[in-house]
Amino acid sequence: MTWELFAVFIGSSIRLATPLLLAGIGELVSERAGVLNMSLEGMMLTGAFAGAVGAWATGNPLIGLVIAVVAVAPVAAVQAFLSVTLRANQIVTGIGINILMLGATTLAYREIFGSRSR
Amino acid sequence: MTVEATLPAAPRARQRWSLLVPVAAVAAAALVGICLIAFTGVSITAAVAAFADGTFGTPYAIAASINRSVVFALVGIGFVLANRANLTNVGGEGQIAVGGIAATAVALYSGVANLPLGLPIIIPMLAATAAGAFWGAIAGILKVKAGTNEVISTLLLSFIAIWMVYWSVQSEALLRRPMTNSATLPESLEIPESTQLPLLTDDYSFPLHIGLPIAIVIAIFVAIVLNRTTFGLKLRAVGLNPVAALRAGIPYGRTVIAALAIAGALGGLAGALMIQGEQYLLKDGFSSGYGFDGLVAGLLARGSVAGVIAASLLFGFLRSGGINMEMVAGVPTALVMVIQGLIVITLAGASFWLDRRAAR
Repeated sequence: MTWELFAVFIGSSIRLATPLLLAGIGELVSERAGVLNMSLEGMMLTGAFAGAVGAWATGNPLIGLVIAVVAVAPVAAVQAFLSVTLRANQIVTGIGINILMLGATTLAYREIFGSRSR
Repeated sequence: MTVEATLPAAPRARQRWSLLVPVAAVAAAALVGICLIAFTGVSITAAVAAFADGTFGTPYAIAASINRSVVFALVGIGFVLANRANLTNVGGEGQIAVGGIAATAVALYSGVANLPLGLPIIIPMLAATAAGAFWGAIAGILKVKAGTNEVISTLLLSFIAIWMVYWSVQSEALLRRPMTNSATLPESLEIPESTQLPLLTDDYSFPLHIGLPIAIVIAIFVAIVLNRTTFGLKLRAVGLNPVAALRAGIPYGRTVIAALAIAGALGGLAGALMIQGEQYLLKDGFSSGYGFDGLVAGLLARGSVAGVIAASLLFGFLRSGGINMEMVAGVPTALVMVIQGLIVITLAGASFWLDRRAAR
């Protein structure tokens, strides 16, 4: 393995670790508060979808980023309401929200981009 | 004056509520689904007709749905059993995967194809059950020896198992079929006909295989074990209070490992049913999320084997209807996932309220 290849390898590892790090930090906060948040995957999906659609719609990636952050708030609010107020089983609600957001983002993608999808 | 006249009405009302709420949750989710269908611009009658056709329209559809429900039910029953001991087994997908690997390997390469008396069918299933039990026991041993949370260990083990399936069909030294040309797909050879599951009726337009009676027998057996044997009592004791169970002489470590191993074994058996009953060969991603659907069926059942069967039937038919809706009416199958997710969170949210009513 040449040094250049090694450098590319390390660089892309750090790049790919960034989303995991951000999500992990969020999970750390909720675990510190004692809430098991299994719906992290659903929230990441929502953020990715909202960010992509926001950036595509407004043409500005930074606005897309802001829209991504704002769009996950309702999902997190649902998870919080179910876990804390209704005291439901946190693993069940987490997995349920994962399934829900996977379906919802796929459906929304097909609706918005269906006629243009490559 | 009889005893019945003095009993409070609460027990009967409690039973009515705990049946009513799941039905109401499914109905509400279906309503949201219909609104979403209208939102996508597809005509509702066409979509509902396609859905009904996919679920009940032809005998083939009914048989396929029931075969699917059997897989979900086995994983869900395993989950319920482990849940009795307060262990959450989310690794159903991985247990199906190792079961599939074991069943394919034994069916293809261990020479069982020529044995008499139905052994070619039984031995791969036993191998798959053993593989699944081993996979579940790993998580159990980690929990007992190192205190690892079994949610994490079973989940991560399932990722390992899924990629093991991918690895095993990439290399001809493992399970990949010999590459005759560059277009040979990375999958195993087809398993010999003597190892494929026989159908209940010899009619290929109604391909219901023997997985259904197997699952029914296992469901009855597990229900009896959970409610009427000392092992079931030990599971419940360990689940409610491990320290008190230890003081009472119940071996905590062995019970935990046994519970996760049995849950894994049922998952492995489900994998064998998928390979020997429908797919007949091993390829990457063959478990296609069935483990997670079975897990959700187990979660919704809230501890009862009958609930697992009901939820598995619901999800099996829901999936079939969704596939047909996409083919005929153009509604994306993602809609079915949305409905499933809504059902899960509504039932999870309602369960606390239900448990509070039951406790009163």
